[in-house]
Amino acid sequence: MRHFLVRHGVFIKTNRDVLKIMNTIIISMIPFVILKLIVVRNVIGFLMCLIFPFIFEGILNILKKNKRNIKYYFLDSYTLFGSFILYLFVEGSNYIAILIGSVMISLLKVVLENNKKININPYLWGLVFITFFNKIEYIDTNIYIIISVLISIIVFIYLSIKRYIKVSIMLTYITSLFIIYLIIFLLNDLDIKMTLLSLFNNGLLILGIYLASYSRSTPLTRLGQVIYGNILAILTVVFSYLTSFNYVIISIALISLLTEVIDKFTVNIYGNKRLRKITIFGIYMAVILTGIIMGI
Amino acid sequence: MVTISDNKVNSSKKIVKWDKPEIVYIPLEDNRGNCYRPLVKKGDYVYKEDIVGVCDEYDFPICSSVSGYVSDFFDKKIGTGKLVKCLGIENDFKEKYKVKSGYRKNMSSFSKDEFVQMLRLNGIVGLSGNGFMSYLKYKHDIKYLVVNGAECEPYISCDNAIMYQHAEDLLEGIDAICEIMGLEKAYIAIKSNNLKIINMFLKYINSYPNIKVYPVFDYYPVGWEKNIVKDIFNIDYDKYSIEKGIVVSNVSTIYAIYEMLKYNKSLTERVITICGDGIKNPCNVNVKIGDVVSNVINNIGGYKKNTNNHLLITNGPLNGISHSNDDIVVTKDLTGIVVMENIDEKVYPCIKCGKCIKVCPAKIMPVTIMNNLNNSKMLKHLDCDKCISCGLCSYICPSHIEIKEFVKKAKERVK
Repeated sequence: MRHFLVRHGVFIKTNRDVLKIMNTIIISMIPFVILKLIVVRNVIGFLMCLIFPFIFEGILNILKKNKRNIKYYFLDSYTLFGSFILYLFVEGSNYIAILIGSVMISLLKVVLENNKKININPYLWGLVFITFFNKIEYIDTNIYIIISVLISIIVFIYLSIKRYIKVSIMLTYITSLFIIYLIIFLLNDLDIKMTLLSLFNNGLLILGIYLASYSRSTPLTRLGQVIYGNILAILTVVFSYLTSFNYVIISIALISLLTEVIDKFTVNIYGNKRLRKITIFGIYMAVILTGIIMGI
Repeated sequence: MVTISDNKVNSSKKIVKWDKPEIVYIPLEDNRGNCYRPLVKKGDYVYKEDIVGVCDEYDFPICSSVSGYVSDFFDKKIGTGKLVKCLGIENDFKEKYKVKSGYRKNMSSFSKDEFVQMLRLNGIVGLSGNGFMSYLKYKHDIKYLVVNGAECEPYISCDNAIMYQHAEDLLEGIDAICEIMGLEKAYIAIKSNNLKIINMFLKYINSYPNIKVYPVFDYYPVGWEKNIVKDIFNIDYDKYSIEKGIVVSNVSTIYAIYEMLKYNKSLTERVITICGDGIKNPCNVNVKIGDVVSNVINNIGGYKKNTNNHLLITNGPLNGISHSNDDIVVTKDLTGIVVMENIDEKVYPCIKCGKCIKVCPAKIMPVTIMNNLNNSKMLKHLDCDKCISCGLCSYICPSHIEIKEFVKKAKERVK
């Protein structure tokens, strides 16, 4: 008789683990970082964004008495994701914003880490915190906007094929935004090209891919993701009329607060096909109605 | 659709026969919890295929797989990990039958009722791992037979081996069942990438106009009865496929029925897969019900030298469980043994990716069930009892959380 180890559960697992997903997402950000480096040419800002989050997270972990080795910080702390997000959306020369952003992201990350009840996206709220003294925008030079849009589309397709992001969110978000802008522009006899341009302002696509579709702060079910994407589109349009800057990030922050409610709602109507259909119909009606109201 | 690399033993590798156990332990309880009343006592002589126990609830027998003397009653572990009472029979290696009726030329010379009775008396159960008594399925009015050859559990390949090596026998058996039961059509569902097996059937299928080979996509768990029926007929059903006049039997079961019709054999042996990186000679083995796993493995070549960090898993790495030793009795529901290295995966917090919900074949919400484990009302609402324990949620989870275990707990709580 031979003895063996015993454990529960399944004995083979997918190799697409959290680490691989996050590393792929971080790698997918590199073209955007390079493009910004070419456009802005501010190496100091880039280095600050790269180093500060690591330093602050390290300090906070020491204060929290989290025993983690150096390897952890570089391999699976995803601090680099925060660094890239900061660099992409904070003005390169606004060093105070970089500093405060780094502190906020690290603080939220370390404090809320492993918290099952509060699913807050630290990168998103770190950016929200600095919206008061910084314009959240990727790049604003026309020719580079087109390049960034092309990169965004390629990255989106790549991550969607790999199933590393919640595709339904981005698809509903972009579709609903397009519908709303189309109605607005049709009602006001404006050029249709403007509709498309409105979609690509303020780094909307990049924010959509990396922050609006961020797993932890988005709904679990496909229905929830459709609701989330549609409400996000409505909020984006409404806020774009109130303020010309930072409306995308504010909309994403607001909708992320509703994630738990959306999840609860979808769980409650689980198994009820009729209510599901009514919900989808209702949410798309709200999208159309928003377009009409905003257009008038 | 999730495709899992299956690491199966080559189906063309000859099925090894191991039929010389010194003692067999006939389990007096099956994986479904049905208990069998012993009909023999210590010291009695039993012939091969003699009825040695009966399940009173279903009037369903269990037969001896060897001839010899009853030595005693033992408590032995079966594939589900449960310790059950077993009847020990010392093999006299004479393979003596009380009545040996031999080979039958016309397999379809029975009425439906006679056939159903034969299934019962010969102890035929579903050999896919569920152990459901076959006569309970076949006694209904059915129109179609689906032979489930879409073996989707990774590593397990006993059905593939039977299909490849006994294609003609299987077709003969299916044809006989169709004739006896008056079925309109029979489908053999095979994974579309198993071209070798499909071609093997196509070689002989022209003689059987009412049998159709039906290639299905390779995804996990394509072998689940509901998925097979959905793929072939595009219909859903509530609990059993019988509701729609469809009976689904897996390849091993059909082969057991073929042997019953052709050779008047009771279900006393089956083919199991023994594989994994801890096994010297991975293969499919024809073993006697009641043999012990350690005995079978030692007789097909044994283990590799170092298995200190290995797991011994019954019924496959996604559906099965691991055992502390190889003193496990071969039962009718045992499909295979996998001895593989234990890889301790780091568990991360849930990232709410929702993949488990997306892939769940039972259309339930595993992660929500996990998060509501203490809320019985919610667990009922979330239909956690619909879980088929396929393990896909745990497999797909990028955080390596054992969601299946949480759903299992939830199921128990709802009960």
